[in-house]
Amino acid sequence: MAGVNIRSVAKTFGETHVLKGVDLDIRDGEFISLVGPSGCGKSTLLRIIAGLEQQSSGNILLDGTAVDRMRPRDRDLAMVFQSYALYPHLTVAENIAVPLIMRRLNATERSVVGGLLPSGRGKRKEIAAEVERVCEALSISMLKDRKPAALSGGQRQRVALARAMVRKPSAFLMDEPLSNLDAKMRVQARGEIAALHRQLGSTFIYVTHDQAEAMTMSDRIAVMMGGEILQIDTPDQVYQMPQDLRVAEFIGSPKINVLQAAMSENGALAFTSADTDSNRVHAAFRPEAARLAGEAEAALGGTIHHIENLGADLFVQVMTAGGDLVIVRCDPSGIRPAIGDKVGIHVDETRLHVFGADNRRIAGAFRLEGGR
Amino acid sequence: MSLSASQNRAGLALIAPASVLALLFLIAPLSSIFVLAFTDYQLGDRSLSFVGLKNFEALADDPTFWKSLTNTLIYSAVVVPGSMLLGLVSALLIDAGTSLRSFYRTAFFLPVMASLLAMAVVWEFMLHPSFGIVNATMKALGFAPHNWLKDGGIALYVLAVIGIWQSFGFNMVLFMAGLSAIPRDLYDAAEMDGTPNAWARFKLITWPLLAPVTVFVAVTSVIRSFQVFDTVHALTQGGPNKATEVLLYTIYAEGFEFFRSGHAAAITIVFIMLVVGVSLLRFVSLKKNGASA
Repeated sequence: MAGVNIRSVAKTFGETHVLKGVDLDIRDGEFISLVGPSGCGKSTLLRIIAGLEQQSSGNILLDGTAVDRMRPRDRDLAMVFQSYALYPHLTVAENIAVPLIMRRLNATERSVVGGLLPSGRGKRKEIAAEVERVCEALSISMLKDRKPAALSGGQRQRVALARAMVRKPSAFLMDEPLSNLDAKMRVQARGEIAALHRQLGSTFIYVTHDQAEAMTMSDRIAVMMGGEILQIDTPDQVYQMPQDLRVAEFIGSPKINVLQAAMSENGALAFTSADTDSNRVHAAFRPEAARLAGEAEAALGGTIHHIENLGADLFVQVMTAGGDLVIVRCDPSGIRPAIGDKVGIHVDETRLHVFGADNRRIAGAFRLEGGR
Repeated sequence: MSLSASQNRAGLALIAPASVLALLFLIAPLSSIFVLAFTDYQLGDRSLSFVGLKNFEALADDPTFWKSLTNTLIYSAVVVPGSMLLGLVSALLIDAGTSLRSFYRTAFFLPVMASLLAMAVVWEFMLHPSFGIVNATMKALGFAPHNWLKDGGIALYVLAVIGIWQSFGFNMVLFMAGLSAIPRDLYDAAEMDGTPNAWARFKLITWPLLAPVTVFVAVTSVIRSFQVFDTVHALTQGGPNKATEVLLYTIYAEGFEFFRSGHAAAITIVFIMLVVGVSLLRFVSLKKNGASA
């Protein structure tokens, strides 16, 4: 069990700043996701925590102790790789046994003659029993004698998980472990990993570019972009109270609607695409915070461009007069709009997010005014 | 599946060039060797007569042949492990290094590409008993100088060292290709799994995953070492006192110096059987690997 503290960790490769001084406190037993687009530095941060990469500056603390000079072997962490990184020439059982063999047997016991030493034999028996327990826990016992090449993607993922679990590490590091699975398997594996976390109670640090994975499994999400953490919060908070426009745009599917608006001093907002002298802001609202209305009744209006019918939801794309595409979620059991209809869009003002020119959230209550 | 007549014709037409070439340059010479081995033909003769197994019986009683076969096997037993080990170690070092990789790769590969005959002349200068750099260095370090190529006890091993120098670069390139096919993730995983040192990682990942390359390198090295000829011809001519007599050189001497073509053909058959035997070994090991993977 261990909390992980990251203190202004920076990483540069030549001129490129991959991490620009990241601070993050991960509580013991927490499931935290590092989420962001590719190249945001999330995998580098994970590899620095693991010790596979050395930070340019800053510190990593495990359980309050600085581990910056420690090799991965001594940090008591386990990692699940995107490629699973199973040893292709070893069977499933042998793969899972590697972390125990490397830590418990000495060089002689590991060698060819090691099987003859009584001490080596005893330890190997213990290890086999532990491998068996982990295999049973993940229901992969029947695969034990197979080589990785003979396994499906989902099975390989479980074996990689088993290899990480067998040693009972103080924290698990996961680098996009589900990205090589098909969509259906991914949903199932999401549930399994979350259940595993509840059962083990260990710290999980989970790197993903998939906001849905981060939303569904995490206690907290750290949204990273351009080598910085933009926001660390619970999934609900990240979704409902994004502190940065880029966070709002990254989290949520379909994407949040962002429109240019002019804000007057009393908090009144008017959508505009024209350059005016007044205070220009980004006004954003999620598809479910808007509904279609009569053309004249709403602050925003346009023509229906396309309708995405997902069965449970209807996502209506409206092209506004200003040339923005706005997505509105509709109930499919209600009145079905048609492509080409002229409609108004009513936005729930309590669920309106306003961001300044610096992308940061502007707090306060806002009123929508006027229309086009 | 049955093919139409026109498909048959097209197929035959397509394999015709390769078949003709194989027949002309591979099968015809090989079969003429087989025929010659059972005759008393001498180079330049207008006639020949079949003598059955007499050539092979003569071989069995010929001390030169046995000396030659033994020398070839000794040479091979030194060169194969030597060039493989040196090739593997240099491949690992270059792979682990970050700078000057292509320089080292080219430098070590140079002897493979250079004409061995020309290089042999350079070695002859270096090994010269009175003004060679090797003896000069030995003297400077306080060791007794040797007459490297004229000493029957060491000449074969000197040739073996030249053989290793010449061929390890080829093995190195093959090993480097094998190394580059091993995913980096595996080494990261091994690091996380607690492998204590580089040797443990080598044993866990590199060595087993290089196994197919190693088998290939071993077989090609054995065959190439059986074919040693250039250095022998240029440096020792099989001497002193047949101490460096090797199979190809014996074939050459029998066939083109003593003109006993029948005799030379018989040795050639033995040589071909050796090479085919080694190739079969590789075939069998590949099949076994294929079945278990």
